[in-house]
Amino acid sequence: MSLPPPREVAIQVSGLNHHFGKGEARKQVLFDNNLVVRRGEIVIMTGPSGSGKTTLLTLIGTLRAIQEGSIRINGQELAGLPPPAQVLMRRDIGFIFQAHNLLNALSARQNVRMAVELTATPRGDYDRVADAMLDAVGLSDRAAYKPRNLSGGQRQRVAIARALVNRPRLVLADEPTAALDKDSGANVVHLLRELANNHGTTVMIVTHDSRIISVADRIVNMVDGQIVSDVRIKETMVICAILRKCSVFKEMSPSDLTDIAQKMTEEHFAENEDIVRAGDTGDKFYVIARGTTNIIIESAGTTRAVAKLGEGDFFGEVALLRDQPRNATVTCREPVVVYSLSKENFLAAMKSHKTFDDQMSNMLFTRGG
Amino acid sequence: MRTPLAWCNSIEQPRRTAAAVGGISFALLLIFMQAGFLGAARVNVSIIYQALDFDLVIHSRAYLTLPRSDPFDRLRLLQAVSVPGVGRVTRLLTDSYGWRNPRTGQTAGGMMIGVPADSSAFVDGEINRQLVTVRPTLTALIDRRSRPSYGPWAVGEKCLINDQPTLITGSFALGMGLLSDGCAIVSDETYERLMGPGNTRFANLGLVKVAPGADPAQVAAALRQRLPGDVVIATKADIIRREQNYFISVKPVGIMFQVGVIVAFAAGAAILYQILASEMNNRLGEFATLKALGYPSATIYGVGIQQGLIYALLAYGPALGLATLLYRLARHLSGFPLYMDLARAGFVLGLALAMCAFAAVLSLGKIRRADPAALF
Repeated sequence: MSLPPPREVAIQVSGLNHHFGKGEARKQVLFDNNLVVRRGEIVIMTGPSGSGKTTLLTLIGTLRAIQEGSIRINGQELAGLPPPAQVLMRRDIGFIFQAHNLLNALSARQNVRMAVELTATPRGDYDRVADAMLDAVGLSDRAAYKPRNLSGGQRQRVAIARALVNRPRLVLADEPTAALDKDSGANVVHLLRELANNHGTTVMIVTHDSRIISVADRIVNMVDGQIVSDVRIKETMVICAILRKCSVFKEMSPSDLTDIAQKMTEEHFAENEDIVRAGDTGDKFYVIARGTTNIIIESAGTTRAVAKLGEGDFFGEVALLRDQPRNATVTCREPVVVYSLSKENFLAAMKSHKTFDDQMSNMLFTRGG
Repeated sequence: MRTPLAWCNSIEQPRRTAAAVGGISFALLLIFMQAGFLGAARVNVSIIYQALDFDLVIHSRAYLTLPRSDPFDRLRLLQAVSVPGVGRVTRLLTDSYGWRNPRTGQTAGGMMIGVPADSSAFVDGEINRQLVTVRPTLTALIDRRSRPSYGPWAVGEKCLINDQPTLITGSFALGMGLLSDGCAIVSDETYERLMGPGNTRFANLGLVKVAPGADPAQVAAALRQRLPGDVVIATKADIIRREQNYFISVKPVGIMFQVGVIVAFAAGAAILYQILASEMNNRLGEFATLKALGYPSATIYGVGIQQGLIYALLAYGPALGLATLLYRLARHLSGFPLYMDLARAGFVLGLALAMCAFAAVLSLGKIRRADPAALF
């Protein structure tokens, strides 16, 4: 199990504050939020009601004007964007609302067509494109029905078809599966996953539905207008899988591993770049996620590669434990991805975990250096 | 083809739409009737001038309208005859009279027209031919289209005009409509007998026919130069326009019809506003959804305007059809000259569109309040 190469940033939220009301009644609802979502990621936002999730979603969706801070969608800054440009931005965003918000006078097919008609699709293809999308949500036999003749779940699926028909680069959804049964819900989630994987669609979902969480790449938790945690599920799982392979972490419980994994940061190194140099002060512990490295030791004026480290191997723990400078240089043989843990976190994790400490001592004893 | 959202919205609730369209249609029908009556009145007030054969007319400076045409010195007519290009000048006297039916004792009013018995002052040959029969004094031609209040009368019998027995020697078809109950054509001598000898020196109108080949405009200019300022020279078109203008702008009956048109228009616009405003209110969420989909506000305003147009045009069709039928009925029952013509159909269509514009301006402001951020 490994991670795909990181994709470009789709959503970048920085220093975002937001207020509602005016004068005396002015109340801050978002406090200094920062978030980076990459293309093709599915992000689930959770948190108690009133925590600002929906406000954040509407700001990202260009449905509200930004007051303080910045949001960039695919590189485009939204703050200060004039209304006509906002309208154009929205065409690239699929909205799935909690209430289906279908146009009551139109059939299911016409509702989906309203979205298709905003694109450069030839007029003759409108119905074909709309029908194909309705088919994908399992409603091909209801295309001619008006919303009032559809069940709640069917209406929601029409709304989802309308949001996804143009393959938007960004999908923003508010409880999209609330009105759906288990199978339809799974079907919709599958659709979103497929769009994310095959078309690089970025998906942000506000939901409390635990059934959806399995497809998410990340879970962002908001409390009182602030992002309090941002868990990269897939990444964490990948790191845990690597950590489990390391002899030092073998005995640790999944929750301890998850705690460590979440504290690790991804770092990228080019071919021939040094990750650590002999003589430097040790401040980090490294796990190799992808690529291979050489361990080089200088002695008596000659350099010698003493070992080769690959995926799942780790290094840098000795300097941290003994508070010594690095005793070897680690050089990349090819482009390398590592996860690093700061000295502080590394030592804290060790202290809190007795076995970990014992293991480490054993390790050091057998490995030396 | 794009999805016809405005049309789909308009017919989503057929019963509600039909009720609203019915209301607007009724308002348009009222406009049609009022405008029809107004138009017919225009035709009606000019009916005597249309019936008389002349190129130019000489009337007093104090002339208001034919029934209130201030008499002027008949010497002016003699002066006019000597002006080059003038063919013939006919003296016309007119005033109202009292009618009494000797058989039934019914009384009514009427408009008397006095012309020389040997003249051919009318367009209608039937009247001109019969003028010779009124040469003896106290004889008259009576309008067959006089009101039923004239009671039964027949050619060859006597009637009472201003309480003087007068022999009816012939009849004609003119129809005074709004102007008077009836009409009697008499010789100028009879006129003086019936109305009093004070009329001998005067004329109400001088009807001028220009000589063959002469230009009426040049003759009119020559007449203006020759005749003193107590009389005015007008062409047939001028005097008809003046007559209609007086009726429509000054007389209460004309103003009444105009007010009728305005009130019906306001009622129609109010109904259209009501339905459009409630439609916009009900669909505020849908319009917000369209904004979230990426439709510009202009498109959404367009949907509202189109809906207004659809209601207005749906209402116009039945109103046009029904008005045509009612015109025919009214014409049949009253003889009033009500006809559907292209100008009136176009005028009312224009008013229907104006209603739509008016209602749209007042009701579409709500669209601005459709907030896509409120959808989540």
